[in-house]
Amino acid sequence: EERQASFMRRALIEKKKEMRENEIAEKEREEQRLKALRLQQEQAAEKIRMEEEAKRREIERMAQQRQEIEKIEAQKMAEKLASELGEKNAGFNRDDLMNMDKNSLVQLQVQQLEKERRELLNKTKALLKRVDHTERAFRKEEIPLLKKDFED
Amino acid sequence: MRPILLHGHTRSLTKIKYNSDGDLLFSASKDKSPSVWYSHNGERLGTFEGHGGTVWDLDVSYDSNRLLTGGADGACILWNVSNGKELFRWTTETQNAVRAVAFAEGDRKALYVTDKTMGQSCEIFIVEISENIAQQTSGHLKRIVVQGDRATVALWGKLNKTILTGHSDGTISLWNAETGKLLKSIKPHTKLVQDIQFSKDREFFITASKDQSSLIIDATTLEVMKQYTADCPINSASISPLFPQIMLGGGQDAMNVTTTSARQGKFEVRFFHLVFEEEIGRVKGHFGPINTLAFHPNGKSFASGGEDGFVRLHFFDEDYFSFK
Amino acid sequence: EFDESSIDFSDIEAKFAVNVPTGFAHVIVVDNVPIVDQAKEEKLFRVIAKLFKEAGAIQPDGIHMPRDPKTGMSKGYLFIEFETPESADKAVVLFSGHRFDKTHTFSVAKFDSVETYTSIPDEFVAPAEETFEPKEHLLSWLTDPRARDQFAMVKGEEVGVYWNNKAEVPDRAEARTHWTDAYVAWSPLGRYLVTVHKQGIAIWGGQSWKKIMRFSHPNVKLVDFSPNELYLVTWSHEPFVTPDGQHHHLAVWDIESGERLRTFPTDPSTMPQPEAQRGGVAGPVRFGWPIFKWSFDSKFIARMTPGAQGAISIYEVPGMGLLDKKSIKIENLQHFEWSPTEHIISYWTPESGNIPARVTLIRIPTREIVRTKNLFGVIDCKLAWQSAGEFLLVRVDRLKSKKQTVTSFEIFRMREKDIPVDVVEHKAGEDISTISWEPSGARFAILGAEAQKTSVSFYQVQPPSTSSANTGTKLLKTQETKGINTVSWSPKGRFCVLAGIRGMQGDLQFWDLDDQSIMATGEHYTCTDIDWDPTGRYVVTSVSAWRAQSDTGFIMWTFTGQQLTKQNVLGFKQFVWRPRPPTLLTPAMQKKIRKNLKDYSKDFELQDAAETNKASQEVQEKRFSQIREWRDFLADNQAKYDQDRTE
Repeated sequence: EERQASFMRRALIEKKKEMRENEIAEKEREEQRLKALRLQQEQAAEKIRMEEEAKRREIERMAQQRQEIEKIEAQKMAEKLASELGEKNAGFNRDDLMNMDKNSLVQLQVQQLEKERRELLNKTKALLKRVDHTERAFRKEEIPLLKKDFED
Repeated sequence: MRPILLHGHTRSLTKIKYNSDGDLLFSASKDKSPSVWYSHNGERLGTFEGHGGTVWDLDVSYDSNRLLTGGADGACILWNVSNGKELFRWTTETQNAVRAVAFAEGDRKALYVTDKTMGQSCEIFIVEISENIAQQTSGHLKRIVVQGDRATVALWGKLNKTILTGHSDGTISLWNAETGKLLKSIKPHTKLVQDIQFSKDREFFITASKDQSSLIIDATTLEVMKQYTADCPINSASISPLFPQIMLGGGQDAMNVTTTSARQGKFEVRFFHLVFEEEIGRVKGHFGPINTLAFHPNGKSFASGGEDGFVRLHFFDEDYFSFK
Repeated sequence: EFDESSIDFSDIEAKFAVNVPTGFAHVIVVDNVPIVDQAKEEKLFRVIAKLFKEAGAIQPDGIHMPRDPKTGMSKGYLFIEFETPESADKAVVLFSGHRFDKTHTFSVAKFDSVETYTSIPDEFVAPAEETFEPKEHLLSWLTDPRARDQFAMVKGEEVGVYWNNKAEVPDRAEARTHWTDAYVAWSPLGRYLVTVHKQGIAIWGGQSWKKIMRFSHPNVKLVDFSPNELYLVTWSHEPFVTPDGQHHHLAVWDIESGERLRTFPTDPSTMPQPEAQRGGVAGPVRFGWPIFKWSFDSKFIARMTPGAQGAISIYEVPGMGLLDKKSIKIENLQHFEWSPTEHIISYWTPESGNIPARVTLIRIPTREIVRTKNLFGVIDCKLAWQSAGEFLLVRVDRLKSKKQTVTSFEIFRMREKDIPVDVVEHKAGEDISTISWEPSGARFAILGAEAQKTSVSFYQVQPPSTSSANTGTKLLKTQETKGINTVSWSPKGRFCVLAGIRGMQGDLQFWDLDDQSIMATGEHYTCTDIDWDPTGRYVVTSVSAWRAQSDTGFIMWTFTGQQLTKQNVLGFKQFVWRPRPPTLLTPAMQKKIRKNLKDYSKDFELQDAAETNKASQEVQEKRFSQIREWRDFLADNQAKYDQDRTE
């Protein structure tokens, strides 16, 4: 009986132990599952983040590239403008020109064209006056000579 | 300053008009899509889709909210300017073309003129414009049958008391807008009247005729005040709101062009002194005859629409403003 | 029939009808005969008779020589009566310009042609005797106080001479309908207006625009003056038929006496071809003309016979005798030109056998060769003198390959020792259509075309430097030009207009060659002609009814390309500025004026302002009334408007 009782107890203990072990295993499995799930979620989030990051970088890169292209264009334009202005002996600062962006350069060019137009207008006006007045002054002085010539 | 070229229309321009503020320019063409543009930079805001053919005329309400167009498809359409949506449509019974449209002062009334076609006479319809579009009806307040040659252009006289029409035989007529009675009719032109535009105060107006002349006429008495002549048919004329000046545009029809210079940009807008009737200057640029002209309400720029499908925006030089 | 040529212009015809001109068709006048006393007359007559017998039988006692009753000396001319008019005609041809002896070269004319000098037909009167009317000043137009120039315009049947008032309406100096049957021209110094008729040429001048002289040449087409306006050469496709059956198309005339100095046949190969014109009316033709080329001082006149038997024949005016009695034989002669300032003739001959092509400069009358230059592989040459005679440009075309030619320019520097020559190779593959010297300048323009591209190039002859003889000729600028086929320099140099005319669109570019830039561009659609005023201040482009059917008229531009006025003129045919003789101001005087220009300018500015005011006063008054009317109208409107709005 005593043996029976002890056996029973032992079996009970064994059973409890087993149950506890099962419980722990179950718990661990659950933990594991949760962990995996968490990991998965984290990974997905990370992926999105990375994708976004890549997109952002791409945009940045593009912007930078565009900026660079614009800068190169501006540089080219500045060079062209500089050589043109140089040819025309117009006063300008080369460094200023090289540091200007495209819009200001276009504006400068427009200004320059307008300036040239006005200069040309002034030049032709002055030319016109000088040629006309010279001719008239010649005539004025020639008339007495002509009259004298007629009399002879 | 360099003119701005408005590309967008695929066919000849028929009408251009600034809104009262002058920030927008409306254009109608034979390509069935009236357009609206920013007048300072020539950017197109949008088109009004719905007509089935050439759009002959347009008018914009004083508050710039609504646009009225009339076309060869026999439709007169009221549009919402801000979204380009069609609000209402009047159609003619036999689908004869709508040749002219106009908002009355106050924008509560409008008129549209239909063409004379087989068995159908030319008529002026006066309609009421409801403030609430849901209540808009297609009925008309008045229907005036035009006897004789068809009306090609029509405007409301001052205070909506009269209606002014120009006709294909060169006649100018003045109607009582209330009764529809013909008040007076004169025939100062020998050929078709292509355009009439008012002075700022609507006391006098300018005509443009295929007979190569343009007249300033008193809007009340129909007395001819001034005359300007060109060596080609005139399609449009406009009075400067700023200076005593007018401008004319036109040109030989395409089929006659071979006899004159058919070169690029040879077609000119001519400026005349309003009082002295003398030519002051010309602006060239169009590749074909100029069909329609409009001064900006501030008088500092103007727009021209050509047979070539282009609208050109010209801004006057500083020199222009120092001109006496 | 020759006689008909003396039946002249309508106003003279009545006179002729009364005087029966045929009565003297057999009489000739021989001028520049030795002046002798009574004793020597018989001997002289014998020699003359023997000489002139060649033309035909002379009537008994058919030689008359007027004498001065006081001195008893002859007057230097005599009359010969032949049996037949044909003999008289033949005598004119045979002995015009005949060198009788060292100092006497005959000038022979039909008595008919000088008959109009006298109203007493049955008495012999000196043909060249002065009419005693006081002469008008033929240069009076030069003294215009406003320093304006004149131009002639032909429109419809009317010829008008006008004062240029720039943008304002020109003042008419004279206008007549049917003044000319074809075109008009000015003599080179502007003294005479030339009209062209079926019967011949007439010249007009002075303030009254009266007829100064006429030159009977049936169906005359072309005229060329000597530079000093003392002689002229005319050409008609309808020949004078000489008694021995020769056809003479050319006549050389003395302007003051109206005498025909000599007639010449035209080599058919060098016959000018008047352009076929619409409506059959010919404008002045320049191509192939003049056949006779004047030396700069009008002393000599020369023509060439081209080809294997080539020669240059030089005649002395007014005698019209062949210089040294023989032509200068030049085998294979192609082309010749006088220097514009020296008695030097330039010509070129092509390669022949072992002899290379060659440009030669020869001094007249010594015939000393001044310079030659051999050229190899040449297919064509063109000679172009700069107007001051400082440079002779020879354009040389050589065949580079079967299809490609290359052009080089050889510039002879006439003012430097031994006449050095600059050689410039022009861009290969370009076809050169035009070479044009800057008047009195050291620059020249050429127009070239390669594939579909046309371009203009400006070259400059560098001044000689002290170290070396010269520094060559360099290209100043080349620019692509669309629609350009003509270069027209200002007569004063520096400025030129490049234009596309006669079949092109009428594009115009106004150049300033001092900085090789375009001052302005313009357009005169279907433009046919360009004419600079003699002072280089204005350029007129025109559309002539001779060449275009519509839009005839002219545009006047400033030399800077600003349009002054555009006139559409129905039936417009021709616009010609009146030339001016060289100024009487010495270079020193000119320099002084230039230096003090500011002082003059002040006056001119005031003058211009006053004129503008005067001209516009009437207009202004009209305008004021127009403005007043309009203001009243506007005021009425305002009243109506206010009233309406308050209602």
